[in-house]
Amino acid sequence: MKHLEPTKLFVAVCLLASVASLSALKGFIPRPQIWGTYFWFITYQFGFTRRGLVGTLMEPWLQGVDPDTAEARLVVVHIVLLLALVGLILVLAGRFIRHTRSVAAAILCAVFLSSHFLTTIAYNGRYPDPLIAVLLVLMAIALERRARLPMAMGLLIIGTLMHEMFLIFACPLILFGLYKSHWQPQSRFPVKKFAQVLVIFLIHAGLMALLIVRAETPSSQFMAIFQNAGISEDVARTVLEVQLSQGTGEALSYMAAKWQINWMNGILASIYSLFPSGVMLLIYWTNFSGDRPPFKAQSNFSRTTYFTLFLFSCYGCLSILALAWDLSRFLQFANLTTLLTCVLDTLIADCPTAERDSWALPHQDANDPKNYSIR
Amino acid sequence: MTRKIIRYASLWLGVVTALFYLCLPAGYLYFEHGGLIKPYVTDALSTPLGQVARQGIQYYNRNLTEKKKRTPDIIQFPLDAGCLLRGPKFKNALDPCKVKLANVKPNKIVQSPYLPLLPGNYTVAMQVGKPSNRCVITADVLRATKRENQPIAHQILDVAQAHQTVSASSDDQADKDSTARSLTSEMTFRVTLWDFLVNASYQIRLPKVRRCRGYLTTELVRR
Repeated sequence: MKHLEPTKLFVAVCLLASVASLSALKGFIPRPQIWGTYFWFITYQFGFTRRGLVGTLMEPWLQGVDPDTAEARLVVVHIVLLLALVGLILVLAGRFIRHTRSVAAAILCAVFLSSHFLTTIAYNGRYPDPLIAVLLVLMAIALERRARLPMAMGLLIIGTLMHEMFLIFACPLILFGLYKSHWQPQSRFPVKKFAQVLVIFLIHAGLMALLIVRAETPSSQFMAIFQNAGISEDVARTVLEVQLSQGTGEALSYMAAKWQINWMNGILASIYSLFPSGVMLLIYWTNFSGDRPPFKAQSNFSRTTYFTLFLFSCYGCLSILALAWDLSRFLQFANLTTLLTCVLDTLIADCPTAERDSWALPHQDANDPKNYSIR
Repeated sequence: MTRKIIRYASLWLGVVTALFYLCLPAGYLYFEHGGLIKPYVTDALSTPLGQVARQGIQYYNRNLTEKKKRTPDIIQFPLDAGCLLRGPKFKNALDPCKVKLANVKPNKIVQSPYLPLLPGNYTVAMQVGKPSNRCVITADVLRATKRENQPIAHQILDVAQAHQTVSASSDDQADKDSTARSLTSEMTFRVTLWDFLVNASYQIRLPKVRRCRGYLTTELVRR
């Protein structure tokens, strides 16, 4: 395996930034996305409703202005979120490459950045997707550093209040991160300690899910607010009466019928969208995992558990397709979670504690067993 | 050794995959609606980057295929009844548009594909060979903007938002002049920066071509 010189790391990150810019620009369209606009205008003013956090925070800035002004401001928000997302991904990718010092890591990141994840995010300006992606990357950074459980739980609260979809996207990633952070090389897996953390997290996630399920049906008074924001009556009615009022059972039965009719489209979309994710896994497993634990674990470690959690972290987000039908949006998130899982798997397992505490410290050899973090 | 080969193979697969997805025209795939290729390409061309790319490809192809003096402001595009069905195609985009008027039946609409255009003033020049008496050409410029995130709707949405309708008919003098070999008509329209940003696309439509023989040639010129 070729090793990147430190002086070339900067060039690699710059190349990745170019790829990311091209990918985002390919899909960036500063125009109204009617089906996502409501997300920025739904608030808690008529009671606790789903997806109300962002609208409540943005209320002073967006409500009470004419639709054109609101539209221009939302375009600005979209651009800022897009830049933040690209920046955070590049920070994580740079850290991944710096840690592994491998060309393979750079290629893995390039495969992700050239996939249509950023393109789709750039396209869906009004949707909550850019916000959710930013929070997922922040969560990966939190899991990789100290105080991972409190930070992850805090981000889970914020993300779930923004959009319940975040709960489905983030939980597999958190489970994998917690599992990896408790696994210790050359010693037994601390089952009791991990079980305690797991119970705390599952109770937390369950409470969040219950909070969403018990949320009030949005008031019809939102209709006027939506229409003032330039949303047509048909769209506003569908959002209020279907998207925000639909129960889990209704959504499941609706989606079952949808999949029966459109299964071929689902297969085609999955092959097209998830191919980069598969290539990333191939690169990761053939170039990194074989050299380090848990692949080398002798005993007291279940490879099955590891692989199950690894794959669940990569593709668990796809379970959203059992509740909502938007293949092109949701499938692309698997590319992001695959990248984040690979990065977490590498950094949590190998990263010395000292380095994890400070990003500014110089690189330490990850393959040196004495640098493994023992907690 | 085998492991090393597998490693290098996976890296090369990664490079090829990255290049493949990077070079694919961008956009938002709508498998939900059953469309795969056509809505995808159409949508890709509607992004600002797609419009710039399209202009660049057209400019490059024109210089490659035409040995005339460089005329970068002239954009020729196909304009026949089949164009709409085929959608924007790069290969044929530079062919001089010719429609055999004998094939155009009365009241049949002949239209071009939707064209994403850069901001500026444009002129549509139409030329008919061998005009008969009272040869009439009527043309509209239709503007479509994408209001929803559904590329398939791009082709049918907001078509009614006609910006300009320019009619041209042969003048009496030309009709009376038996030596006239052709009839030329022009109309102009303007593409604003806002139209460009909101991904407006334009279509040239000929709802009426009456009493004309021979071929109709159309050029779109950016001033």
